[in-house]
Amino acid sequence: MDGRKRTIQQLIGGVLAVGALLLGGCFPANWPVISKQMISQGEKAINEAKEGNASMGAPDELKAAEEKLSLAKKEFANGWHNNASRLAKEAAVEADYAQAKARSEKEKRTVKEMQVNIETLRREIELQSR
Amino acid sequence: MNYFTWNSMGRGFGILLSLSLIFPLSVGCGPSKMAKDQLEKARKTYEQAKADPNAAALAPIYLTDAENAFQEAEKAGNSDEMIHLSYVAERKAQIAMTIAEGKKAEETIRKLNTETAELLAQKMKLDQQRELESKRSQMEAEQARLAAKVEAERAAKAKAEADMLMKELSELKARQTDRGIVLTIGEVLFAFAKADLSSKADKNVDKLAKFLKKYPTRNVLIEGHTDNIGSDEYNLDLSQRRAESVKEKLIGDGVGPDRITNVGYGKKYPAVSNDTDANRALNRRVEVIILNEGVQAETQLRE
Repeated sequence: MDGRKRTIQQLIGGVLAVGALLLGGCFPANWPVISKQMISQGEKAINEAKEGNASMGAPDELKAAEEKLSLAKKEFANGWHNNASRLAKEAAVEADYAQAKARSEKEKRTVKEMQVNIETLRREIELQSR
Repeated sequence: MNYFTWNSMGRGFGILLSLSLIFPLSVGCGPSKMAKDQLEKARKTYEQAKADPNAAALAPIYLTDAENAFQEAEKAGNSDEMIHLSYVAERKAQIAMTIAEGKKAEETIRKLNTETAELLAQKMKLDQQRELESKRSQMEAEQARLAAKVEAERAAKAKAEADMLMKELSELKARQTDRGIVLTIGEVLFAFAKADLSSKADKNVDKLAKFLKKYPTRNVLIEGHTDNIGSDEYNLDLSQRRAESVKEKLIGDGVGPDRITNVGYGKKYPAVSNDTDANRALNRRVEVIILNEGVQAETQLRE
């Protein structure tokens, strides 16, 4: 009887310990705050990308960022703060990429236009100098 | 009871504590294939960025950021974390390369701007030159047009003048030839073997003198001719005397002697054949050539 009781007590103790470990190690008390911050950072990055004309220059990347952010919000609402944080972080980095790409594409387009202009100018000058 | 409980709980805690140390090693630290693949993908992209000379030169901060992200991904505690961090690392490497591309394009734009400015300056210069040339050729065309107009007016005036002269000389039976206006004082104007002007000839020479005084720039060449009766020498002399008497008469009427050149050709240039008396009378004549302006009489002499 005593031995059996002891085993049960040991088991209860173990479960409690595991619970404490899980709660203490994997779910810090400030997680909701952190993931909320991450979501707002993702939002900020997306807005910046939009201001950088990413909807024209990198529409696929911008869309991916927006989808990730909306998933992040859903996970946050369901209380899955860890997932929400990751998704928000991914949304932010995807939006940063969209912004960089849109800008780079714009610069490259400008280069092409200028090259065409220069070619036209050269031809005109050559014709005139004849 | 209390002692027992705490004691047994403590023991259970001990067992599970040691279990929980082993747990991550056996379950959490064995990344899934998907996680490994994602990490591999991130590594490839990061290495690509590291090898990109533009990224190293133009986006070093982003490259370092990508490197840190990749190292974090390598150290991920579980598969989900590894997938997540690899994703972030991959994107950061892409961002570094993309930013470098953009910066490179910016550099190119600066160069092309300079080039464009140079070409525009060159073109502007050429445009100005072309404009000047077109203005000049317009002016030249205008000048040519004016000159042509002046020339046409001059020609018209000359023709009008020539017409006028012809009209004025029509009474003297003038005719326009390429040597100038030629008029004949002859027909029955000189008697056979005579050089004296008849009274009718006198009147004609008066008209000629009047004309020459009105046009002081016109000089005359006077040619004397005879019929074929008599020797060459005789006729040559006679023709010279006939020309001379016209000259004398003109001088007497007030025409400057320097304007008059006279020559005798004898019977060498008959106007018509000498087969009848009437024709021979026609050949006894003086032809006065009113020279075109500026023409020297010497250039109009016959052989």
